[in-house]
Amino acid sequence: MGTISMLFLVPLVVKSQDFLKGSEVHGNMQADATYYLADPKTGITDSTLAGELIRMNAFTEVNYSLGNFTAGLRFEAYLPPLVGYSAQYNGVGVPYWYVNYKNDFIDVTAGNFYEQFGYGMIFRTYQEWTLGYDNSLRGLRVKVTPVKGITFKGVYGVQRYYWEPYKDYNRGIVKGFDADFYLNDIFKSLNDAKVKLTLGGSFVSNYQRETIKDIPSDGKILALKLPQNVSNYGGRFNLNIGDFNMFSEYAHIINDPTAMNNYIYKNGDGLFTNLSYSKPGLGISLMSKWIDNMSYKSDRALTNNMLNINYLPAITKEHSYALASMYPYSTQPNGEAGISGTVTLHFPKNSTLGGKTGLSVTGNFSQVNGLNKKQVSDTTYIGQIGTLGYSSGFWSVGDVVYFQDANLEVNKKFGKKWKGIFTYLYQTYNKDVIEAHAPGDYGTIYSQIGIADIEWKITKKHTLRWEVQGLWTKQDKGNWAAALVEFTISPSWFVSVVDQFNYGNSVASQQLNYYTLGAGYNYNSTRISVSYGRQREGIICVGGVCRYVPATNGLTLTFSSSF
Amino acid sequence: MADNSNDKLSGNMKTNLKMAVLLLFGAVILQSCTKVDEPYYTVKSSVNVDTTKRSVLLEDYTGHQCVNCAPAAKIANTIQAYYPGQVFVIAIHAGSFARPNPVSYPPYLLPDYRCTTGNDWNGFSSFNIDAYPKGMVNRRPYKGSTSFGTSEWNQAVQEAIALPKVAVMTVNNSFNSQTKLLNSKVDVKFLTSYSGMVNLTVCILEDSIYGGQLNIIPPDSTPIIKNFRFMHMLRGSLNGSFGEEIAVNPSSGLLATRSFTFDFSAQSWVPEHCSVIAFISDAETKEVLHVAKSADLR
Repeated sequence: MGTISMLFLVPLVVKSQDFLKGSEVHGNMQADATYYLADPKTGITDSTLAGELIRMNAFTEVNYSLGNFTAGLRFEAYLPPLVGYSAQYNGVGVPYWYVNYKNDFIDVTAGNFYEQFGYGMIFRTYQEWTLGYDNSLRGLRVKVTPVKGITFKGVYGVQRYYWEPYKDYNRGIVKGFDADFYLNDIFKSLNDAKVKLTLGGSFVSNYQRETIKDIPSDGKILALKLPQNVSNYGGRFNLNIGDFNMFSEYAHIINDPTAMNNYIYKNGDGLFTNLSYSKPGLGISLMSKWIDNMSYKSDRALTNNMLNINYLPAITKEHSYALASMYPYSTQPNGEAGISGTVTLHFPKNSTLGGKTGLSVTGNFSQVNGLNKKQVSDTTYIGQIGTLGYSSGFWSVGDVVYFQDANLEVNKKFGKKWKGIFTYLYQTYNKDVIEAHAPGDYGTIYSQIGIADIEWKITKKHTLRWEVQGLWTKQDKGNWAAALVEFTISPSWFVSVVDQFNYGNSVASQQLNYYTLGAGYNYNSTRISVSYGRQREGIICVGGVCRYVPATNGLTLTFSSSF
Repeated sequence: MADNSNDKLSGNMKTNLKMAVLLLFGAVILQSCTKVDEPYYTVKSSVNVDTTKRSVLLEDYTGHQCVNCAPAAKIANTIQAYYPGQVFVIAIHAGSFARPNPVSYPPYLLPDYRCTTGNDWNGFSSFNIDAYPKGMVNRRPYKGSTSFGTSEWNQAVQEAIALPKVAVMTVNNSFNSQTKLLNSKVDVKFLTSYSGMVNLTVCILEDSIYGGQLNIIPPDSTPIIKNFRFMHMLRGSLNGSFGEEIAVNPSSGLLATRSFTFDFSAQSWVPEHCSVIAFISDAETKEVLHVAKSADLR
């Protein structure tokens, strides 16, 4: 019997070996686990922790490819989610899976996918692990390239919402179409032209079943009439002439009353432009953004970061140093107007300013204001539910400054073993607007920040790095000082000590040290690190999308690997 | 030999392109857009209360430093008034926005309205309220979440209120204004059998407390409402934050009675503004099965 079975099995095994020939498996994984400790000085008590001392966020993503086919999945576990992440993530499962077939003409994906039309103001799905953000679309995506230079994309599906399965229209059905025309590829006579032009257009529609929603307001129940199909559409272009590049995208939303805009029926508009110039030793980038009532979600009742269909690009610089990122800007989808500019200069070795080792200088400025909103009638206040809300002229800019950041960074090598990065920032942060407090409650915070980051390459394998930072402000929690010492033994080990000291806090009991001791080990693409310390309360932002992080104290273990 | 068709697309390509363009138009036509014309709403006048249906507990998690919480309180009051005798609101002052604030607008934000029961409900390991204002309706999930924003409260109430009644409840108080002692008796009679352990939680609420409330929302868009009238404020529980067991797999007709005594003399609360609210809930899921509330203490 056993022999007969073997006879049948052998050809199958050989076939499957043939079938698997040329296939590849890739993936990555990460686990972040924290053991939390009570820390009465930061307001964390045993009662706050309520026994759930250990929490973990983890994922493993695996992708398999064979010829034109690719398939993959991501397993996630939040047991329970780390403090600062939504409790709705509590659980385990596979929220992301897909199969894909691709050739020169067509690219089809079934399952979950991440996609972006243009800069994303009309449609963008993406995942950001540090924010706990995932708005992937589950459904079907088709990309067609009928001729070189022309790409059509179609998407159809429902978005991920934590672990909540889609049923009974509990969120919107998103449909979208995008066309992209790269004229220099389409027309052969333009193939080698100096001027390169791409045109694009997108249309997205979100279907939600409800047509009436009862909303209590001013002591009455209002039965609001709702649009079942809300569309967002627009166009874009990218023009490249030698060292110059200009990109611009416009988007328009037709009446989308939502909890985000207090159920007003005004159309939304957005315009984003990026102009850049670069040549060896010089880079210039100018950006502008004008956003008016542009929140676009597949559930109109949500006010958190989830189920965004579009993405409103950030133009302010994202800082990585601890004190420079203490007051980060969060995009205000209900209305903002901003500009930013960055100039990067590199002075080469042996030049007058570059000296023997060269010098890089980067200057950046950004400012975001509110819009100039006006009442639509004398009897309607701005933003009143069940009305057009307000009026605003195109590119109208209000007087209220939401955010301003002027910063200068100097990057200099001192011989072969020493280098330093020196940064100065002046920031204006309208805490009331950005964090949705009452006007005048916290007011606007004006801060100056200085940072010195010095690296000493002791030997080929041993590096010592220091950071010294200071933040000076008369508002909010007052002055801060921070220092970091990090010792690296390449390529595997590092240890670090960090402290942030809020010595200027007007409340003496809150003049706390936020210290962290950390160590890590790298082996090929695997990294294990452990840290112990107190984390300050704050806001983490990536691309203008932010997450509040409460103060914590504990021991954190992080593991990540890719294969 | 020069190729004079440089700017022309090949036949196959043209066909493909046409197909794709047709697909584009098809997609655009299918994805229509709904334009809503004025008037954008109608005003609902009233609703007929169906006493055969379940009563509903609407919990409003709030704080006097929360700038969006004043309109939320108004919404909760509106819903309660819309379903008289069937929806009962508890305002739970908890979380960072409920902390006393000696720095801004002194002395309006100095009072501490938090209590142990509210803190326990609010915390990481119970209902984990992560933003304010947020509400819970009978502690049932609505659109996948147990707590949600104000724009969902009325829809969640409509859904919860349509469920059949599990029990009838009464709350009878006697209050001695001399000794300041409250005696409260809660009767629960099950109308249907129920599978699972049932808890009873009995709390004291206080109305008409005046104090400072930050506010950002028009038409009262002053930074602070200095004389805000706080209603249904949770003061504490008479039998623990998550109540006590009164029945396991109760059958129809089962009567459970519990009595409580509370001494007001150590409290600054105004008894005439206080009431007792009692609710039964599934001990496992914490879903509220029925609610009853007494009149103000006399």
